[in-house]
Amino acid sequence: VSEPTPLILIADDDADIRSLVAFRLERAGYEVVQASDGEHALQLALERPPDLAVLDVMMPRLTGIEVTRRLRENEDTRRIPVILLTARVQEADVAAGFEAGADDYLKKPFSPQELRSRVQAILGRR
Amino acid sequence: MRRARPRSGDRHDRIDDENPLVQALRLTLLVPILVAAAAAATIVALHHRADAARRGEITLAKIGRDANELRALETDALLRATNLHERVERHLREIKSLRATLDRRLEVLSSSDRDEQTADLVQSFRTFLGSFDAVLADLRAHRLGAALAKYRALGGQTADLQAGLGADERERRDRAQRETTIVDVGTVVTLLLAALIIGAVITRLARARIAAAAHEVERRALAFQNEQLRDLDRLKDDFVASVSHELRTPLTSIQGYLELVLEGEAGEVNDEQRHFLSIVRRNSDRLLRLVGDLLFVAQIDAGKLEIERDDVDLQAVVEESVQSARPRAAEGGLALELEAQPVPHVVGDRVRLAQLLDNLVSNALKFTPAGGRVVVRLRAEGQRAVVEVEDTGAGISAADQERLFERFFRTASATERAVQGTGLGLSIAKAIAEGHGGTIAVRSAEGAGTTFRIELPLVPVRHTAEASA
Repeated sequence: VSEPTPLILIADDDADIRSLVAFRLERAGYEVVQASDGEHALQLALERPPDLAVLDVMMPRLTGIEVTRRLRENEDTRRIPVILLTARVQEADVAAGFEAGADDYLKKPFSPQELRSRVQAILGRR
Repeated sequence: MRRARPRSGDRHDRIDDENPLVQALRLTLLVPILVAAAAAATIVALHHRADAARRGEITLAKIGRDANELRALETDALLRATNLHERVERHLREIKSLRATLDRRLEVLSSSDRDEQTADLVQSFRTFLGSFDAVLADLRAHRLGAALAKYRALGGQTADLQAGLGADERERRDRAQRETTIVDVGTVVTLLLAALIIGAVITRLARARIAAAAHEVERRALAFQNEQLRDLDRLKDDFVASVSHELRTPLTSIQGYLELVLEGEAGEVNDEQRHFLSIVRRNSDRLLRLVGDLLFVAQIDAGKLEIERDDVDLQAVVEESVQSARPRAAEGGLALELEAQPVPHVVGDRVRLAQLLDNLVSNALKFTPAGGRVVVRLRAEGQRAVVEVEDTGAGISAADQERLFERFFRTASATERAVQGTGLGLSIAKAIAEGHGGTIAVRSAEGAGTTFRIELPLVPVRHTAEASA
């Protein structure tokens, strides 16, 4: 109880998926903040840097890849682990995500349980 | 009769009996009468001839006018050779109508003066006009080459015609009229030839312009087509990306929430609910596979099928594929057997090769009735790895075999028996086999089962070096 509840930022323009991920992670004991587009996600991350960010790649205004890149540019947010969610199958997208500094990615449709496992793996590692 | 003669002799005798003075007086009276008669006859003859000449002149004058009109027309045609194609057509029509007028005038000329030379002249002129018609026909049909050839031949005819006219001329009684005729006919002939030349020039110009315009149209059409193709390609890429995104996103929700419910996160789930939800999940899985297949096909079409060049243990791929299909085989009451011999590793894409095997095994299971058998074989034959998937199903007719690897093709029996599928599996299998430099073939007979045979090269292909570099 001495350790604070980890904060996770979830950004996806699809509200159902946000709720799904949020539900899973909250049940797993994390605190969750949600953003419906890339700009909002970046703003939330800068205001209160989360312990981990789950970002959809195809988002309005700023893509998940661009948000990752910006997070890496800022001293306060550069160490935040990022898991990208991608609905695209092209390998190039995945490569671009890693180049931007993402730590992991999941292809849609993903199992919420698998996402939880990945989140736990990354946060446990730290 | 006999009496008449003496009577006539009598009268003669009577004249002879007249005194010389009376005879002289009578002769004196007779001369003016004869002179007057001769004069009258001459006047009549002269008048007649003048009339004929006048009629001839009128005809010739008309020919001259027509000729002038023709000349004006040609000048006009040359000057306005801008909107050429239509103009050529119109002028050709007008030339034709003038040509008909000339025909009528010649008719008048030949009927007004019936002498032989005029008839010959008219005949020659008509022959010439006949040849002229042939040239016109060629011009009209834009057979410029043929028209020019005929025109050259006409040149000879014209010379003959004019020589003939010259010979006639010497025999004319009325030189002046003949000369006028010759001059006018010569003018008409010249003008007609000029019309031909102008027509040829106009046609040539028109053809050049039309060719240039056609070339330009073709160039633009090609540029437009290329642009369209690029657009289409972009559109396709966009489409692939958005289908990928738009279909996978809702499927993520469906499957994610299903998972939550099935795991009891939203409360206890009874057996019937679980059964129904498992049907929902199975169908959403199917939908997802379909999306995957469609995207795969789109990638093949876009020439963007990426085949990794890794070291692949085919035996492991085949074993995994058979292993994962065992539950479905058991469910369908089918025996699923594997006869694998060790083969050297191949160079290729492990994920794609697994997809290829899964497609073939899943097909075999779908199309084999309960109690049947599916055998998967792996062996090396020379420089090739051979994978066979054999079933004891209903077989495929020869006609269906031909189209089997076509996209979206479904056999009649698959449709009749409502076997689930999109008709994409085998086209994908073929693309994967060929993407590895291999082949896929089918051997089947109706009622005697089906065997799919894949051959993959065992020799490491050059890409290996590139991929590892």
